[in-house]
Amino acid sequence: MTAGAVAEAIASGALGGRVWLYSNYHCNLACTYCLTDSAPSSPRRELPADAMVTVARQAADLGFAALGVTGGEPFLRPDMPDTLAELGGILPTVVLSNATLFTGRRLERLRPLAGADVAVQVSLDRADAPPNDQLRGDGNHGRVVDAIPRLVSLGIRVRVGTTLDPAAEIPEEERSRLCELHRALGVPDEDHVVRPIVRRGRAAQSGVGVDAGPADLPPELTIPADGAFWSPFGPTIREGRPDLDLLVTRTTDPLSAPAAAIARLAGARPPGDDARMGIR
Amino acid sequence: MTPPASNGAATGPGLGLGPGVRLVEAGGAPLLARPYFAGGDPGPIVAALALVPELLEATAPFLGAVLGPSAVPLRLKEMVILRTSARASCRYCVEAHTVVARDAGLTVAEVRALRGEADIDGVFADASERAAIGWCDAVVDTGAIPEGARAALASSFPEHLVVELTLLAATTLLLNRFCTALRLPTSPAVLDRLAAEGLAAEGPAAEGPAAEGPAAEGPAAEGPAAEGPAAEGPAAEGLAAEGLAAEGLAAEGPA
Repeated sequence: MTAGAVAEAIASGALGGRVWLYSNYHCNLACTYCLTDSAPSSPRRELPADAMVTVARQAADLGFAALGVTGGEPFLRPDMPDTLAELGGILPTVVLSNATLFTGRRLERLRPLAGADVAVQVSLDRADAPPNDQLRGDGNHGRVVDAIPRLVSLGIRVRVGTTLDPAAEIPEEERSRLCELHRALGVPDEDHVVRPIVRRGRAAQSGVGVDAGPADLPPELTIPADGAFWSPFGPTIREGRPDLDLLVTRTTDPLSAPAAAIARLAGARPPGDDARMGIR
Repeated sequence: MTPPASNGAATGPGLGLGPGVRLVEAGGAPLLARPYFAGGDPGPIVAALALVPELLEATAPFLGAVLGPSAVPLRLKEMVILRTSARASCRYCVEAHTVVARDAGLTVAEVRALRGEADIDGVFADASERAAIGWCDAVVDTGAIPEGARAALASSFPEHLVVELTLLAATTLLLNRFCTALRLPTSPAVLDRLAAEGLAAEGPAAEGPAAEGPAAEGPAAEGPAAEGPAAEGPAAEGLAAEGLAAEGLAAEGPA
């Protein structure tokens, strides 16, 4: 399969246009539903900055349209703002963050992102602190609500990501208040993403979320330190080892190798099959 | 003819340890590797290669072509595989291919001789078979290839078979080192069959890694292959299918 075929798969929608990078796996939080079983003591599994930039350049050449960076908490890495600014110069980039580190020097370090084509997607799961913090740790809600305006005032585009357990019955009134909250914080509706918890990693241990396999997950080429995976929900950790069921290839450079393989796999399944659960 | 330096069924350090690498199980198989698990436990070679699915995709067809049905008759093919494996002291391959060789029609005496437990010349009367065996020894042993072995082979086989027998021995040697280095486990079914035929390895080898790997829980990949994936593929008509199944390579993987 050629690079042209990869571009064609992206253009047709058979393959997602965003390449995800797992910058690292450690995190200052230990959320109950974390896919990657991340915590402060987790092995870092870092993807070096130059490797991320190499992936980004090759992704652009292959016809991918955007990048995503996730972890772990990416901003635990001091080099992350500069790396993100470089990535944003190659392709539009979104970085997922818990936004609990954006004070003092760490906030200052974000200045390269002002005006860059980089959006910071901040996790905020509930309108009220108690249920939010039950999932994400004490004080999380307050820190996030404080941080978002600071990011906005720096000129950084902020999105809000809400991850919900479909089994949890959240009143419509609370959902409305969550939307009111993000609007009040400067995040418009089009930048609010809601998705279900996927039962992998710590979520599986906690018994929450939806079971999702490759038929349910949109194919989005995802590059952690361990190889190339089908989806950002793929490189999860169980008992300290990466799950392999959504591994595509170990080879990540050249990116054409996993891109061709995932395009081949994606092309072999019925179109639209993954839309059922709305996992994006 | 000099017997192998050691009986391939016997192993040294590592006895009693589990596999030296994680063996992928069907439920956790990577996407590109899944077709190889579709027919059941594909055996530890595939289960190990599945950790690098793009290499499994490339390696399996190659191994299938070399080890599967070809211009080399099955009996001769299994002789080469078993002799090479014994000469290279590969416990896993000797155990698996002892069973395949028996299914291919080799006698217990012939198997024992190929494994280095009896004199080759006293068992194999056919000069061409002795030449092939000598060639295996020459391929495995380090250093220059003896001119006598080369001449004996050339006088017994046409050029294309010389090439194929050489590739077969060399590929077997590759697998020997792969299986030995990674301490791949023999399935309980193969060990049972070896015990039933009085061909179990002497010493503790039979109690070694075999029972501890994930393969111990699955269907026997190395056993008589009729139940394995091979039985359903195009190779199922001949006994060669069993040799492939012994390597877990007979599944109709992705084209």
